[in-house]
Amino acid sequence: MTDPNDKLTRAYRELAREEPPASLDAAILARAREGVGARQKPSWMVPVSIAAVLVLGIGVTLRMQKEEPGIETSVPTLSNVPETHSPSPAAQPATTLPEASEPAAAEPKPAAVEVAPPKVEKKAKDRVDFMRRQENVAPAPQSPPAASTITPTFTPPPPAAPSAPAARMAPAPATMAAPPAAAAGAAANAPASGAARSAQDTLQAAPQRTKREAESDAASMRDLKKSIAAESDPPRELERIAQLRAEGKNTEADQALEAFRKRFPDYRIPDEVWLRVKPR
Amino acid sequence: MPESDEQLMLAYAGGDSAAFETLYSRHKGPLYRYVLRSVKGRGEAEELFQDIWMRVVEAASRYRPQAKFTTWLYTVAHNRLVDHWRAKGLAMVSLDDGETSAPEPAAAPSAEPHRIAEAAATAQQLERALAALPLAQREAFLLHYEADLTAAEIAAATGTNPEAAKSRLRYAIDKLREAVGDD
Repeated sequence: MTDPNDKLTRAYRELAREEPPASLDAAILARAREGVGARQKPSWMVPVSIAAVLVLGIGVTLRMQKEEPGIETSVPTLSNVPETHSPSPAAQPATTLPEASEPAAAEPKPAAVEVAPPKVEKKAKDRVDFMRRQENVAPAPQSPPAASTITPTFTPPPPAAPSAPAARMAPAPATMAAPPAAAAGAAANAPASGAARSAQDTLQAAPQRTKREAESDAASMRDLKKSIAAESDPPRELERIAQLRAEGKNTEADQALEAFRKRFPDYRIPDEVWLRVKPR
Repeated sequence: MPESDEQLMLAYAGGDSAAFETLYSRHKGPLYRYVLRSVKGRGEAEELFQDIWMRVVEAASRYRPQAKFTTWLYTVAHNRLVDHWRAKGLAMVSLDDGETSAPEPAAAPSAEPHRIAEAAATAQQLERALAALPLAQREAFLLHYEADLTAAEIAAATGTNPEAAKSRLRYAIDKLREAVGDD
């Protein structure tokens, strides 16, 4: 670009020979190496998203279980849910059906339990198995089933289609997707012992609670999405910082501004916006 | 064939720290001199210089080669300098106004006595003339002579339009040529 024969160019090249000190080089390069390691860790968004999905999913599953025990392991219809139940360890085996009573609940079975594949054919087979067992054992209670008999990974939501893998359910907490079954199973274990007596009452209240909870979960997810969207949009993030300044939350605003600069180092803050977000 | 700056930056974003070292060695000198001649003292310059590279490191995962890497790098550097000037109470000064006086003259030769003995007379004259330039013109000159940016790229990095950038660069070159006797 510059003419090397140009007198000005030669004079400037003669003048401008400064280089950063070696200590500065070393510090910057060290930090750059650390940056590689830091980037290889999952960002904060990933664990937050996972946690949000787990919380929502567990909550939904708990309510589903209270509403209709066994609903997560079969095509749910109320007629399938038996009225009473007696413990029957013999009926335990690898099954996707919730049959255990309280004693059985205390005995966590491994997941020799069949995993219900997300296929209609498998679901139909499970239903047949369930019907067969109804002939052999007393019907299961309405209490939340034991962990051991809950399908470990795939649980179809009520009225919906076959179960989906947990990963696919991650983005749709508002649709009452089934949660990771291990967590669900573990969670179900606790209430199993006390829920039998109140099963009838909870069954009636569950639909409303489930709906309320689902709406609350959906609202939480919308807020989370809004927050994430604001932080990925520089003007909106600057507005948020300006709002913090206006509210006198200067410490929070300072931190947000510093974080903003790290995230968007090449974004130019207009003068008029700067006046509203600058440190006080 | 040596990798381009953009490829190196993407490689770094992908976890190749050696790519960053190559990138750094290519640009550290010009960027350092750009910052050094934009602020008052060497200490300030070194602090800002390090800060700029830290922003590059932290933004690596979000880097997209939509423009030349150099343009992006000097946009980050310019923004950091603007933040610095604003923090010093220069918020109301129109830093993009090429006709305003420099709010912070660059370090004069007298501030670096060891260089006085070494610098030729021409270089001294140039140094003084450069320090006396309005900030926006000085910046345009430095971005052109250090970072090899065109007027359009200078405009992109400094948030102005290409005509304004071209005008500032032309004024700066004219004044400096006069100072070194290259009319």
